Amino acid sequence: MGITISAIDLTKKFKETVAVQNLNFSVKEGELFAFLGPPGAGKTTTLNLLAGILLPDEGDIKVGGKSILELKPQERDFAMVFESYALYPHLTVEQNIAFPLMSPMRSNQYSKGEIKEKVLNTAKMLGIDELLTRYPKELSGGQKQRVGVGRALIRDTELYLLDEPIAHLDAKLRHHMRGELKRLQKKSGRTTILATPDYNEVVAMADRAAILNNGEIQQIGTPLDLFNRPKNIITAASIGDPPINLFDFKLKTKDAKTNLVGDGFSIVVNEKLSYSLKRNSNDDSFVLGVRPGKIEVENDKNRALLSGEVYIFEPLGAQGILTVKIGEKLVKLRTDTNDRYEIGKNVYLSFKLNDSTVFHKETGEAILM
Amino acid sequence: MSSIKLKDIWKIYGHEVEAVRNLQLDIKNGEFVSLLGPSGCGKSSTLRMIAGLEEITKGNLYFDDTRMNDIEPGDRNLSMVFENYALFPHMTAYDNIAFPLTVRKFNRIEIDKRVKEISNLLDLDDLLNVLVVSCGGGEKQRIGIARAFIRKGEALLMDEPISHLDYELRMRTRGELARLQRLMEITTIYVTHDQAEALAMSDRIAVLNFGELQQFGTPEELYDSPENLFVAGFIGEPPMNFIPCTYVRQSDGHRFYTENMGFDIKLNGNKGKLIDEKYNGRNVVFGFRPHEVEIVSEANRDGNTITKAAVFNFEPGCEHSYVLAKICDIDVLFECPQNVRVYENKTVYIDIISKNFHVFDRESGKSILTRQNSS
Repeated sequence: MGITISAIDLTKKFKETVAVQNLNFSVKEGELFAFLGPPGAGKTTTLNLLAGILLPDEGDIKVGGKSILELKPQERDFAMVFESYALYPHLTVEQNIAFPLMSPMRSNQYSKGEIKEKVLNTAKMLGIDELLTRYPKELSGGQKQRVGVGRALIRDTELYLLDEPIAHLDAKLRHHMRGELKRLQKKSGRTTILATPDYNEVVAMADRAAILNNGEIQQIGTPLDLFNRPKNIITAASIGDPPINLFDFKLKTKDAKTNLVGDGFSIVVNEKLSYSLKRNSNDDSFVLGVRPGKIEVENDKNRALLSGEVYIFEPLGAQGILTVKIGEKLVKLRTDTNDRYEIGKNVYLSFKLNDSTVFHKETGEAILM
Repeated sequence: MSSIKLKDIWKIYGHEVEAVRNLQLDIKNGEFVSLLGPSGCGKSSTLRMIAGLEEITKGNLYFDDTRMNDIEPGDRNLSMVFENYALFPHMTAYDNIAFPLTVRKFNRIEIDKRVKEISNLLDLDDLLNVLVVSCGGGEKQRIGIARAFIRKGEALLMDEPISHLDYELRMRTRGELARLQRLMEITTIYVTHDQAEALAMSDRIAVLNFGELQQFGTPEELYDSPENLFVAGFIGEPPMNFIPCTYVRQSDGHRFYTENMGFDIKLNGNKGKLIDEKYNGRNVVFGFRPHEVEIVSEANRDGNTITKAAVFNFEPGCEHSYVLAKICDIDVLFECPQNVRVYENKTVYIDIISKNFHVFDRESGKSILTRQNSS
């Protein structure tokens, strides 16, 4: 089975630049855990720290409760897939995949026949079994990537570290590989840590994920938890495409009614909502977050919460993305492609306040209501 | 600005590499047309022939009614944008945007008028006096767009101008480019390999493969009525599912079945009537898009439009999930609502929504649905 691995106050600096700061997480045995964040968030640094390629400035890494900081990378013996593939250019696909099994540490573990069979099985699963005699320079980016994945998966080890393992594949192959990797991971029960900037990959594959931003963990949870119950604006904006719409607003009382007032809108809210907003905040500045899938074009002007003009409509097959300018802000929503939206045309929008999240303007923290 | 017409255009490298084969395109004045296809399909060669950077091997190129084959690139009065905008970092945004006009010695008043007009459309007014080196990535991108559009030449040619940007910036720039093109009404030819980009931005799209035009139509036409298997598989993400099977016309509907009966459905509805009669009893390919099915309960398993699928993988999503499954050994991928959960290695029953399906000739790959009128 896999192992439990945890990080305690892990910090890594490159000269003055903090790459990751005070990371605390614990990956359970057999879990598929993901780090989700944009380029530069610290994902690769985190994996390199776990593998022992980098040493932390502060903090500790424990496996099964014992520190592994003293162990060299080869003693930790984790399998890693690098985003840059790092294939051996002078070896064929078959030799690249077989390489870990031929290393001096394991040279007598497998017979030649066994190695050949393991390589073939791995290559088949990744759909590269026809390419075994080719060299890396004869492969496309997606094929190289799968060779890199194969070289890691062929090893029987306790922790797999995958740095953007399926970033360069086309759409159909990507769905296929997500399935294959998840299947294999569940079957083997090996603890696996994935780093990716693609939230779809995280939702599709991970048991739990950490949102990483500017070297700090924002939130850890199941993918759906992170999507439905973000603790702050950064998490909310990390998952979903197009990203969540964010509106600055203040609470204002007008004619004995409370309004959410922002640039280009004023929405009357009930007492209960205004009460809980006031109770939860020292000032009156908030941010309203509404996902593009939760906003609708409203034909009845009287029922609309927002109005603005069409900025651009982008049809994408079954659905399209409509961008509407409200005040100075661009708001995106998903619509059917049957309707045509001329640039500059006035449109009315509605959404349910229940489907939205309110954040403190200053701290970015979500307000639970 | 002008219309652009390609008539019987060929590009042959050396003696035998046919990069573009007998291409016909009629691009209207002010239209946004994308040349879409995988690498090596001939899209960039076509653009370069229009620009005059490649010689036309055979055929004629017209801007309005003027034959352009022998006109020097510099005299074609086109703006071109490549992947790299190459802004001058130590010049202001204003001077960068004005550059194409300054080098052509436009008078100052005209330059000022045009820079202000375009900056206003792109929300760059406050940045005009800022040095490009101190602008953010998104701002640089908008300055680059402004510079491309300011010429107002015969046409604007773009080759993958945003494919190198990171995802977020690419999405934003995509909308800005399409919007500005609509507002300025400059004839635009846009090369891309990204079908979503082409759908989102274009008035019409020319899909190319192996140097040949596959279909030329609006985004809706390509998505709803692909004329062949290539277009059907290339447009749409995730792509359309295909099941090779036999077609039989029956008095009460249209039956599609595989030899082993793993797939056997009967569709009524109007769309069936569009199938060319001569295909009765012949080998066809049945196509349906990932969102054009519904999972039904086992109790309803015997409906005419319902088929069995063995689940290979369930891929959860935030707003909807995907199911990878096999229908008689053929991989299919379909969408299901977020609250539905299916399990690996189980069988599910899916209803193929009968108003949306596609049928192709197994040999030629051509659609055998007679073209629908836009109703």
